[in-house]
Amino acid sequence: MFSMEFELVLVITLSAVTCSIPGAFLVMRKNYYAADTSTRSAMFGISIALIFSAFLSSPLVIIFGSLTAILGMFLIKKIKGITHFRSKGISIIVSSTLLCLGILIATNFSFNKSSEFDLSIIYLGETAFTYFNRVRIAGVDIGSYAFYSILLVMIINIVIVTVFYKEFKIDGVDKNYAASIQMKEETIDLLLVVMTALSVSVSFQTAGIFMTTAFILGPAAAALFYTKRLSTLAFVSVFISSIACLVGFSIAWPNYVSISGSIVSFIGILFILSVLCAPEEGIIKKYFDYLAEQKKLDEYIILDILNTQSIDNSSSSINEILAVSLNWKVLRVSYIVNKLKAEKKLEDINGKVIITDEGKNIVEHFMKTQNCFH
Amino acid sequence: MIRTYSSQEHIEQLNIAVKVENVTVEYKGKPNLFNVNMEVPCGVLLAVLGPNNSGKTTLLKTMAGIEKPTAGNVYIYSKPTHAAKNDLAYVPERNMVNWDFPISLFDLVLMGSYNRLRRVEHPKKKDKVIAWEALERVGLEKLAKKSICDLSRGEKHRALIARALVQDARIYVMDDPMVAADEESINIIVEVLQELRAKKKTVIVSHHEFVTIPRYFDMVALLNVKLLGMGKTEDILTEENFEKTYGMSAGMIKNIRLYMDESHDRNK
Repeated sequence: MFSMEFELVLVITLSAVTCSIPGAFLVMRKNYYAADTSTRSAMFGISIALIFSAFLSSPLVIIFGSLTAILGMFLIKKIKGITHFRSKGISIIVSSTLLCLGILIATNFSFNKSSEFDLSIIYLGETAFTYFNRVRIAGVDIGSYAFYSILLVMIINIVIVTVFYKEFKIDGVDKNYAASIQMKEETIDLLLVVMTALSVSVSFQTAGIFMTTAFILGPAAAALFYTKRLSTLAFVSVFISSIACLVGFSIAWPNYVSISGSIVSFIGILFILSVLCAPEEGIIKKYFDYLAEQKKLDEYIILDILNTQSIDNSSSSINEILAVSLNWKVLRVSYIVNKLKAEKKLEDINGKVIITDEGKNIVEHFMKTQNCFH
Repeated sequence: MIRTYSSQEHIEQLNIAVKVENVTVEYKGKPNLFNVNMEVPCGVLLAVLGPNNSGKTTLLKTMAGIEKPTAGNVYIYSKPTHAAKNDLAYVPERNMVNWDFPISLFDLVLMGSYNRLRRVEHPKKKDKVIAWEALERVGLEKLAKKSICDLSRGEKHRALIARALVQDARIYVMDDPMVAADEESINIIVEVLQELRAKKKTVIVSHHEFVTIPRYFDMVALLNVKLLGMGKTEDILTEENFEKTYGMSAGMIKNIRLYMDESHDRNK
């Protein structure tokens, strides 16, 4: 129907967008382990399905993969309820067990049925393979199975999020309040688990078991650095997924390297760039904010001393006296004193450094706004 | 001796907002609450007191229908809790809320209207007006657009109370709404509590500061897994009751008594 490149970009982008929808809610609920658990647990079901089916886009693969992903998350919740282990620890044990069982089944039974794939494809995915399983109606090729299966899951995700948006929001903020207005937490949890499990099972053919986790969590985690609004976060998350897919594919395709690997690497780079450079929440911005706050505090400290303490304030020696008293370097003190003088918060009168009315007002206002002084 | 009622109509006749009947709530085989019986009359400000792990939060959650009792019943205006979602507004402990969730303060307060909405239905203009009024009432209207993660502790308490006000319920159940809050927030919260009482609403609050109890509350319930006493504040705050509940020295009770007497004189 379309060129191979276009179809592959479309499939991988749909796959990433599909994963980023439940991913946004998992990240906001701080339920990070759920993505990892579901991808590993899905391996068990996928391996069983591959005993009966010879191709990766089979509905059987999606159904079995989803069921075992749900089983994995259900087991974690139940085990947590009866033991004192934390979810993360249980998740590692349960999902690794299901993953290993899946590998055992796959290597001993599943791969005998077809030579199309091996374990590395299930681990890492192979987007190019999705092109070869085609849907034909009356002999007319209308696209790949992968495209339609991923599109279907994406529509399911969008419908669930639209219908239960309020419920997801309340449950994410305050589970007790949700329960008090008779909103069933189990229903919301189950819906999120179903969305995640379906997305994982349908995306493993493009991204593989291991990289699907990055598809789910990466874009949403990066998006959190740009917005503090739920609706915007979902859109930013989808946008980041799409950009990562386009750039990742353009790098991977001409160079004959793993498409999903390239995309996930790019998601990782975007995440690190967001951590460093996001306009409000990035480390660099926060560091400069911190420096600015620290400089302000330095000014308040000196203004307060000159406002409340009797010290030798002669212009010739004040820098040295303050430096000794505050255990700072003279250079730091003289920089701040000069700045305060330039800003008319301090002034030199008859060889004495004196705080001005403006300086007094500023430091007194500062003292009033500090909680510890209430 | 425990009083029992033959019918739910009887409860209504007695003007009881919340009736807790032989409630036991267990966690891993150990009771958090054990055979608790209490009747909260309409229109009172009730403080629930007790040491840590005495079951205060469990009691409030059970009243709100969040915890299911292992045994016993809770009636809200003679209805079981699951049928009374519009009658009761619950304010959770501050640290039970995911404050990192990316929503604004206004969105959080607007959530108070969700119990009136159908699935897929979004809040209407009227709901937004009510939410705005609630924000104004707690003095947070200037922070409406601020993300909830940027609020101070006192502002977070006030935000949760504003959300409860939007619910416009007949009963308000609040879990430690003043703990670690600043003076301004405490004053506003106390004003709101008194306004609710003036509107004949029933307010049940778990509270920690003994000194302020006589000033704020009409009734006190003393809890330590079992209900050890409930009644008018001046009748319940006795040395005997406090020692039963806290195993506390009489000196502290005397101080509270002293404070009560002083405030009583001031009121005269």
